[in-house]
Amino acid sequence: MLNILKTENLKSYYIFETPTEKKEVKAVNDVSIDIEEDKIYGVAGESGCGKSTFLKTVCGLAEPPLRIVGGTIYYLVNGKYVDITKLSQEEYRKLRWEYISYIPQGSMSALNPIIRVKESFKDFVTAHKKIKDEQKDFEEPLRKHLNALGLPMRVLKSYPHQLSGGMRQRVTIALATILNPRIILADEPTTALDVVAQRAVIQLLKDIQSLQKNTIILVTHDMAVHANIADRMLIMYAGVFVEEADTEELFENPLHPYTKFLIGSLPKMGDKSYKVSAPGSPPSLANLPQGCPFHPRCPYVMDICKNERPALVETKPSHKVSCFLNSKERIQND
Amino acid sequence: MLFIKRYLLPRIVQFLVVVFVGITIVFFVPRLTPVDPVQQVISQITSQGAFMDPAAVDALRQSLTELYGLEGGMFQQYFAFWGRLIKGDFGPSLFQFPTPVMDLIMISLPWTAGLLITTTIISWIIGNLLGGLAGYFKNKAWAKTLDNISMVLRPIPYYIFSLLLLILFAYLIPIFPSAGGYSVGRRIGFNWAFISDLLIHSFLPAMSLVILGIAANFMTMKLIVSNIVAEDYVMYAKAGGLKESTIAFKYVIKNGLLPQITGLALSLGQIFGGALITEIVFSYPGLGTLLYGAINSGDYNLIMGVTSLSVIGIAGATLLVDLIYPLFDPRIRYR
Amino acid sequence: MLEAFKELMKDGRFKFAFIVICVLAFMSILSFFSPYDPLRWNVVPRDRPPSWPHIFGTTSQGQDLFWQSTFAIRNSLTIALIASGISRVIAIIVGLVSGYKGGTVDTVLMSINDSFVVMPLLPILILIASVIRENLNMVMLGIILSLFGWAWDARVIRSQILSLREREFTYTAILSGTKTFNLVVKEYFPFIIPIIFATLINNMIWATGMEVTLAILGLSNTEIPTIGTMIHWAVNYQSILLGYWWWILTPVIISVFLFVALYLLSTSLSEYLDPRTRIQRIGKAKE
Repeated sequence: MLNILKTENLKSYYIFETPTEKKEVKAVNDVSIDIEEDKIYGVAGESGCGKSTFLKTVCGLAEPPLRIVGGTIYYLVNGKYVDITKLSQEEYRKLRWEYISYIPQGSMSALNPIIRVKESFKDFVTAHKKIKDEQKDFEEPLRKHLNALGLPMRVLKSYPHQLSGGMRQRVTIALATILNPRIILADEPTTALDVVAQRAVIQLLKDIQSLQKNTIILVTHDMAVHANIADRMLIMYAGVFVEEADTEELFENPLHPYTKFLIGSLPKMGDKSYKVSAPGSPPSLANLPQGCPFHPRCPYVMDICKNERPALVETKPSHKVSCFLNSKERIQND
Repeated sequence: MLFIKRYLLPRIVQFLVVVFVGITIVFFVPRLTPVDPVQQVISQITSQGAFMDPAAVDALRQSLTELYGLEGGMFQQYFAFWGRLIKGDFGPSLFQFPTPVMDLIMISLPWTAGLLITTTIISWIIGNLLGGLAGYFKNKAWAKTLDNISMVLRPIPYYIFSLLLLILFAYLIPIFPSAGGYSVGRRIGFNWAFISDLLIHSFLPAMSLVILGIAANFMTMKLIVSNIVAEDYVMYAKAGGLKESTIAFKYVIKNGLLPQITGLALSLGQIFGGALITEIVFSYPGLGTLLYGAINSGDYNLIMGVTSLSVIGIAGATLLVDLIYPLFDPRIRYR
Repeated sequence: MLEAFKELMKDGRFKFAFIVICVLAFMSILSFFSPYDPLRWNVVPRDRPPSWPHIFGTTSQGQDLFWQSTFAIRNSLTIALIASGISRVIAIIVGLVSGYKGGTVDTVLMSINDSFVVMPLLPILILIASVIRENLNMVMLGIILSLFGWAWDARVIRSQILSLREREFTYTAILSGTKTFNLVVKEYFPFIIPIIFATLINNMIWATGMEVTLAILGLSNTEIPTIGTMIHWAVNYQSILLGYWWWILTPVIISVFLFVALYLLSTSLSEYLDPRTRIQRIGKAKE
């Protein structure tokens, strides 16, 4: 399986500088990850753990005060790995939307309010493709695309404010997939929608993935959505990925103490036992503890956890975890 | 389209309220002096040597009393005042007795209207364009330079700026004529000689209004654009890899022009005042110079006439600009 | 307060504006030490260009320009302060009542308010001034200007009140039985004070501009030295044609400095107070 997105030691901080003090919010703190093609990844974690920032960084939307402070991001372009942090503005602009697209949180206002939806689509398409014959090159594929996604043709003639919230979200998804990108980043696409619209959106994403065979990285704190749609899951905590596994494996055998709490707190049918959540609260990303970021709350904390950060290593086939507990077990098992 | 009634009707009502409030203020002004203004006027006219027989004096006294709203019950006078207003009767000019005020205004009005309309449109378009681009490319050197220049120009009052232009380009470096709308003795007609003469004379006053107008529009547009740039749809367009020029014009500036239309409607009164002052500095034959002459000769009727018409005119122009707005904002056009 | 001031001083615009205002304030204080009575003519030789001891030159009426300026600045600023101060009070009352009461009261008040915003004020002020010309002393002028300069800011205050009204602490206060007056004064005022301060400076710019305009047109009491009346006399005596450039340029340059300084003061202050631009400022990473 090819990796279509790779990051190595990626660091992306919000930097606030006044003459008197400098504050660094370490939202993405040394992340190295490989993302395979043709899979739906789910990224889960609490609010403020850096999930959205990770998406923004990876699709080149890091604007001051957010800066890429270190590390590399690779896309697979024409069979070669290209470090996009080294590309020029124009080179990168060409890659956008055709290689990687983005569905932002709260797509309510993602469309230009004073032009019709059809024209928005045209803007995005013509930025990357030349249209010689409008009917053949633009309108036909557009209609087919909307049909495949179950969207009515009337949305094309409408202005964004004339569509309902759920419809707008689905139009934004259609827009994000019009050029068949290889990766789609979706940031909380189901939040702020009612359950019926949520289901429609999730179904839409599934349909797209099976149609276009691309990779979707879906960020949401709603574990039910992950259980429903994600093939593989990434758990994020305080700016780092602490666990990575196929969805079923993660739900049945969580290895990281944080993940254990997370899975344990999910309601199950017929299970009336008392739910326990991790004690304390997540650290401020501006003031991270030394060593493993979870150690102040971890019931299995050891001395080494307070001083060194564990790396994300594969302790079971296809199951990576960043925790000294597990690597210790592995060493013992060897 | 029926929803436009929801938009149209309140604005027409507002227009009527503005006219009502403004004209009422004009109505009450003559009561601010303890001296009887009608008697003042009559003595002023007779002292200027115009001979009037007693019957004419009485008739004049009667119409002036009505015009100044001074006699009889308050409401009766108020309605009589409105009656005269609608007929366009502001009485005779006191300085150029007995020419009716309305005639004098009608001669000067086209000059002011021409100057005002052209300079307002030009400075709105250029100011907003520059402001929008400077707001979008705000770190470029040219944007910062324009910003600094506008910052200095913006607060300068029209009089001072016009005066500086006059001193600079009509006296120190005498390129332009220092007064008038066209050269003395030139015949009016649709020929190039006249029109070019006209343009040269109106160049400096127009420049004054245009430069200050651009500075003002520049600053507000830049502020608007700096807010729009943070909007979701702009970030989304960037994520989509749209070309900079597309984003700058279709996504940012086009959206920024909408509040500027409203802003224009609100600043018409101010722009009008500026035009009057500029005309005075350059002795341009519009309402400004007319007003200045009226002030110096104590021609109260003329001042009142110009003021009343200004209130109605500006309120009407504001209404017009308000009505144009839905043409540009689909959120109002379709509900 | 001191940290706020230090922070503001780092903004080049504020620094410049503050220095200019201090210089102008100093000059107005100097007026109390003037060796010449500003109302009298022919106290010094006429039409002298700038030289010692008349460092700004003298006028055709035999007055020393420098000491005239000190009075002019003082009087112009006084008029502007009176006008802005009173119009703040009107704006607060209208904005508060309109924003808090809402409903018909709000609609009617705002309709009248908008009339004052749209109306061409210059002709109306000219009309009024032409009638009460002789009685137009500084206080009177200030009061009249204040009666017309409140409308824009009343709307600003009203929208702030509207947003405050929907906040939770309002409901808490009402439910706990706070009287309306107390609620409005004690709870809302801290939010309104910054707005008042920012709009005060803007209003001063407008008021000074109006005073200058009316004076140049000869509509105020031209005996009293203000920046406007100085220009009025300079123009009246054909100082441009006669080449007495110091007479016309002194008040013009002073007024340009005054207006630019007030404007920069106002923009830098409102940018400082606006939380959005504040974050932009401290988030600007060095590139």
